[in-house]
Amino acid sequence: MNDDLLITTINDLPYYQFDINNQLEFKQISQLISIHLSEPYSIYVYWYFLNNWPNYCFIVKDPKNYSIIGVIISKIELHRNVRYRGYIGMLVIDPTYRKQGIAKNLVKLTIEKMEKDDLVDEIMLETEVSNIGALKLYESFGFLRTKRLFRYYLNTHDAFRLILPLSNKAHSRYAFLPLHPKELERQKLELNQN
Amino acid sequence: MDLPSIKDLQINNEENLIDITTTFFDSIKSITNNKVVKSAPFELLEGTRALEVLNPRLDTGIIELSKDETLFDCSKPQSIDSIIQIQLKLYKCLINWLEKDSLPVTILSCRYVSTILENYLKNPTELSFIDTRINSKHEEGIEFLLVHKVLKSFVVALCKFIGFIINISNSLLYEEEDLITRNMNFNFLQTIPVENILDELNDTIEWILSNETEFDQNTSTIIIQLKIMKYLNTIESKILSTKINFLQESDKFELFTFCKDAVSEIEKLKGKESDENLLPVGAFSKFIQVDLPNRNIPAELTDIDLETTYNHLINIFSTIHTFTNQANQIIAINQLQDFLYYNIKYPISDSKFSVFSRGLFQLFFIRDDKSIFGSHEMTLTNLVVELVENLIGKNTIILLNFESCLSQLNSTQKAELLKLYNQNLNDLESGIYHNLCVYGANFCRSQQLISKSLELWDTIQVSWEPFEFHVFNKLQFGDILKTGEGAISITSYIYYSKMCSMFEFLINGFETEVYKPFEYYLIYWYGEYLLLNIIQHLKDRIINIILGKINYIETTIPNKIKKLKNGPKKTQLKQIQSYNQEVIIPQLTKTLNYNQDYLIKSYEVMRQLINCQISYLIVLSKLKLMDFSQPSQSLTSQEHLYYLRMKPYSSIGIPEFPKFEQFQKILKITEPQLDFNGLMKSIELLAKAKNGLGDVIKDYESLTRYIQNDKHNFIKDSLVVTWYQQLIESAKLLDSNIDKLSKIIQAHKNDLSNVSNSYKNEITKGKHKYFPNISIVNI
Repeated sequence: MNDDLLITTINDLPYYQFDINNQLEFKQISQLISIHLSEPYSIYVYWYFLNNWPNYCFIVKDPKNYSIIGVIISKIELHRNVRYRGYIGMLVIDPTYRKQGIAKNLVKLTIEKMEKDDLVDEIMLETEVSNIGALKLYESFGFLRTKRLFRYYLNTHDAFRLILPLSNKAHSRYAFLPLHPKELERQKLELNQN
Repeated sequence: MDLPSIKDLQINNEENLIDITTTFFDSIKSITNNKVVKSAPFELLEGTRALEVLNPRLDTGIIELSKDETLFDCSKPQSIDSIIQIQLKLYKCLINWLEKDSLPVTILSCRYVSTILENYLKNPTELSFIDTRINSKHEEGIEFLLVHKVLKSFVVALCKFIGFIINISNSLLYEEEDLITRNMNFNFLQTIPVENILDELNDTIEWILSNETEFDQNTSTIIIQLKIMKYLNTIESKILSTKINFLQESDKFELFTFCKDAVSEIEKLKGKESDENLLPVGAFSKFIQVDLPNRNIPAELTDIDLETTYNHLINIFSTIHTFTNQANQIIAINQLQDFLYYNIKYPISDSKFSVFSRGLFQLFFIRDDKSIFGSHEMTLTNLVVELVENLIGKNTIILLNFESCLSQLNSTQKAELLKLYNQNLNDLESGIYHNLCVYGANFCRSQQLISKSLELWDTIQVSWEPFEFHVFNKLQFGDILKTGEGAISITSYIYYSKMCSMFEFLINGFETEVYKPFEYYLIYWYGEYLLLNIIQHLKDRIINIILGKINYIETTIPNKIKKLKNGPKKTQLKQIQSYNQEVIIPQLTKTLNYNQDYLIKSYEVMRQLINCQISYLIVLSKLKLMDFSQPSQSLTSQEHLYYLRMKPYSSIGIPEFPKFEQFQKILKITEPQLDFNGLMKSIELLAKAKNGLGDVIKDYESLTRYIQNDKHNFIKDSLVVTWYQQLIESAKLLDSNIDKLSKIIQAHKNDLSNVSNSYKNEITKGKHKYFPNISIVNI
């Protein structure tokens, strides 16, 4: 266990950033998600998130045996080259440890980090229409339901797309926005390489 | 996990094998820790659906099958009881597919279906149950023929019907949303004409009848099953070939009568119970998921009950019978609009259409050749003119003979302006086509399409408005208002259409449940604002355009005739004027009356109902029973939330987009006010709302009577009446909620701060989709 990655301790539960060099953590995270989320994900999906954005995977461990009891997995990317978008991909808490505010802390950690470190313009996610708990959680932070997606999940349930707007870019139509500085930088680099 | 050595695998036939061990281990040397090796197009979406070897949730290769399932012999003779149960199960699978699950876990889980399709794929002339991998020979008795004649014609017809649905789905529905197909690369008998399928079914029915004594009481059941399959395939054979007398007052015969026969056959079948013990063991399995190249993850077979199956089938036939006959009865454009909005979209949003009926409707409505209901006279291009003039009246100069106004220009200017005119007409047609495609969509997709249409119509307006002004100012061409101003008729229609879409998109958010209670005030407030603009536009602009057209015929043309000397020009103009008086004026009057007596009225009553709702919401907020500010722990500002919610409307120039500051000022009225002034204000608001609701109910009842007495603008038995009844029920429910709140206020008039300690709001489904029920209950 890498204590450098300990972020905070809330109610005696330690919150860590995922350790990319720890295969056991990877295994535990994928198992936790596989058991508790209805959508089956391939190993590629876990690697996609955890390898590209290990700094946006936070885990909570049981201090008694250091098993992972909660995880949030996110990413940040440019959206249509004009705004920076955070995306919360998965959030799972072991049922034994629910109702202790762990999910809320994980979401808050993620939002604050995305806002502070990467100046994201918005954070987006999808959740099942019938997942009242998740909706309540995200909406308490200000996430707004922007779209209902018909039969979005493999179990054919509808989803809501939720967005937390954090800058003016989040509510401007992309056609009216200039290219994001990161995209301009990328284009410049590409030009130089050519 | 330890892998077995190559030797342990005991591979005997080595000449066809290539040893890649060295190549493989060489290639993975370049992989560094924590690096994913993938091709560039393989992104997250592919990853979420990717197969993962040895993961039981993702690897179809490790699905375990029983020996019965693996070696199931489709060619083996079966009893009539088994055949009936297989066919019953296949009906269940069909409906299960239409309602929820994919083909591999429903219809394609049937070995008879997969075998026929595999054989057909290899050789389109071979439709058989023979699986060459299974060596079997059977005696050709009656039970053999039951499989190879009866069940085969049933399965072939089912495959053909599925192929038809997939065809519709490919162009008119949304894959993985409306339907989850996963066709396993089968082509579902595309090359076989549906007529052949129907002939085959008829032959089979004849054969059963001629062997009736063999089957006892089962004859009727098996024949009904085949007949239903025949009726399902008849839909394909008739849907595009049946002539619809669209907009014609000629004799109207009942169409698609076979749908009624189908319903009566299904009703007869309702007594037949399913008994899966009679299904041959292994006939339905996950075999196809293992046997064929498969991009999908493993999935369990699913089932639905027979009642749902029968009801869904009945619904398909009755819906198709209804919409084809309603379409056939349409004699006016207002009827078409009534049909599309209240008799197609409205029941669809209430999940009353099968997904198949939805797709079929779109196919039936706008054909590949752009004809409407297959009419030779009415194409999409003609319909555009009809729809526009249905609002702004006939005789729209710019739509009549545009080229005539170009005579005063040089050839370059002429060509440029004509090009622009045609481009604008094309854009208008695209906008209308886009709107017409909304009707058959599911209620979520429909919102996405409407959202797109806001941008589209705003762009169309931006093109048409300067064009019409230019043509009127420079060439004095176009409709003219009584005041002498240019009418900009087409732009006025576009602006109206855009605002209608804006209102619809906004208010439909209640149906998709995207609004949280703290947003309700904003939504109704903006809705009221849009309605006010629609009403003003109809009253000020649209009505004046029609009056201008009447004035043109009654005043301008007679003056022109007077000024002309006798001669062919005068005679020609007189002839035109005679047509105008006899045909155009009555049409313009009819449009004027409809707009004034129904259209404007319907918006005005809706606006009043929304105003009553707004008053109620203000009082709830004053009493701290609702809060229209942002969630308390929100990590973003109310301003960001406001602009995100209003994003679809924010780039639209007119009607003017309200800034956050304007809304903030408006919101002040909802601030908690628990003193005496607050009490008086609340009582006043509730009294105003109650009075308003009385008028709303009376006005909606009057509109309902108008509709029932008007045979020209609404189709027979239109669901528009149900729509208004639901609005009346909504008004009554709001009235009773107001009564309850008034009593609570009365009981706490000395200390209103107690109200929020004892009561809270409860939001449930309302009587109409625009108005959730917001009631007050004890804590």
